[in-house]
Amino acid sequence: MEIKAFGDAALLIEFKNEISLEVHETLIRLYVNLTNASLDGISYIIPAYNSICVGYKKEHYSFSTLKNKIELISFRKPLLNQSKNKTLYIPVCYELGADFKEICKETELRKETIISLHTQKYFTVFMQGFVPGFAYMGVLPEALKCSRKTNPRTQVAKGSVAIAGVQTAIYPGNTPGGWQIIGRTPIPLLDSSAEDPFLFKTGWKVKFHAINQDEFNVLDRKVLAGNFKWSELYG
Amino acid sequence: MAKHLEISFSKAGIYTSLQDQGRNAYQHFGVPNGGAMDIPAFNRANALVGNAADEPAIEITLTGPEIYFSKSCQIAITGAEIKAYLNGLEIANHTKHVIPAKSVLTFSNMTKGARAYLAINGTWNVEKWLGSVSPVKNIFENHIIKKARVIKILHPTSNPLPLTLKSPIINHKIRWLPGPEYDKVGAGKVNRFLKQGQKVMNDSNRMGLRLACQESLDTNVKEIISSAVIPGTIQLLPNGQIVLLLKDAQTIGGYPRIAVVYSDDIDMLAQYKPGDYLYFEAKNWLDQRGV
Repeated sequence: MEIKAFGDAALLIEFKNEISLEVHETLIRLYVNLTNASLDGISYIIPAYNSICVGYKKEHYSFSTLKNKIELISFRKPLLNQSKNKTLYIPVCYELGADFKEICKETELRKETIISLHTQKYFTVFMQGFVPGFAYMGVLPEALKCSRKTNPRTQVAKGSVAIAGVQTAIYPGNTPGGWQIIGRTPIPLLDSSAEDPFLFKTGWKVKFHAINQDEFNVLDRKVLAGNFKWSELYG
Repeated sequence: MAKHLEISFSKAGIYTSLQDQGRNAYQHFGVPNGGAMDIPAFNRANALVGNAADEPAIEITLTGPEIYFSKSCQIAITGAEIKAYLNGLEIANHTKHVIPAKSVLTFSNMTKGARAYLAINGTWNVEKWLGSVSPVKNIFENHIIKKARVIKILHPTSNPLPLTLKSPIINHKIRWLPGPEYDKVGAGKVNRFLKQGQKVMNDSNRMGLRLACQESLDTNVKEIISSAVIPGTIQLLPNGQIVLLLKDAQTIGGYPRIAVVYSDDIDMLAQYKPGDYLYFEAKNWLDQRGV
């Protein structure tokens, strides 16, 4: 772990230079401890694959005082409250996947194999970014690895489930996007009216399961009618 | 007669939006900071009309809107120098104006700077998302002003006391600090590169200033494992030119962060427009101070 200045009002905690579950688990332990510490004068904390950025108020800290404080917190035993770290079970209608032709060609896998590879493993939320609520999840089985689209779509439908490299994600709104779409979920990822407006939390586990078009429609109507609760997805 | 004031836009301008202090606690969900690009100018506008600092104001980019006011109220224009006309007569920037009911406010081009703020006294009856009115691309675009938009403002007052707040003249080079990949790309290389005048390109916006200069920065560090980016971050693009991230930038990026603008200088970047030249200090802020 190395702590570097990131300008005069933020610092960057860097871990081993790789994308792996192992590195991310170490990082999440510190992230949770930092968040739980609720230090005064901290403006924001942004975790990513192998780094955590901490924004601070200059009136509260110098780089070295905050660095020392974070180093002390990093020695603390993991306070990770397991009950807070949930697993989400997300329904996906793979019949609505638009890019199977391309993915089958690149991975030399059949559609059924791609679906079973995407549904059999627990994935981890590594970070969120690109647009609000867009969660980068992984690690996909190596066999599923595929490239981004050469011509990104200018509009991807809300709820589209996509893959790229060894990552998977769901588009939270109608946005442009370059990942390969393999399905769609009726589950909303954002709830502006909720006190806690985002479904995903960095560090949580996610498992996908397949639903058919009819089940998708039923759930979609339930969501639209306002009768669906995120708690139904918790394992 | 209705107690509240209604303002209606008969012209929107290039990019007019409602702004406030932005959001500062949702970056880990991928939510940009947002908020007024020039916070000191925004604060002066609200202070002039007697509003609290968290009341929204209108951010005007390069060309102004045309606005009809249903009731008498107090307004103030700060930030960039922009010629403003009330019912056809020119009015001054940086000062409070009490305007009569049924007034029309129009603007001509900016003579200096790129972003002006129009504050109007009262309680703005507008929707917020995560505690802010600042638009978020694709997710919350309610307050990117379109022609025919009407906004209700409650309890407008018309305090006749005059008030003027001078806009400080900021005219210095941009101070900067080493970014996380400064050493990886090479301190000497970055210093030499940033010494050149940087031209602000047309595709600059609230997300960032796209800059171009004569010599590009050649390095084999083209990408990094995606990691946080913050307003003020100077990212090196694969073509050897840079982008300077601003308030609406994404929160995660995969390009080397060669430098970061000193935090006190970020708001002043709001006033650069396409075609302007931007100059960085020859030495980074730490070296300048001998730290």
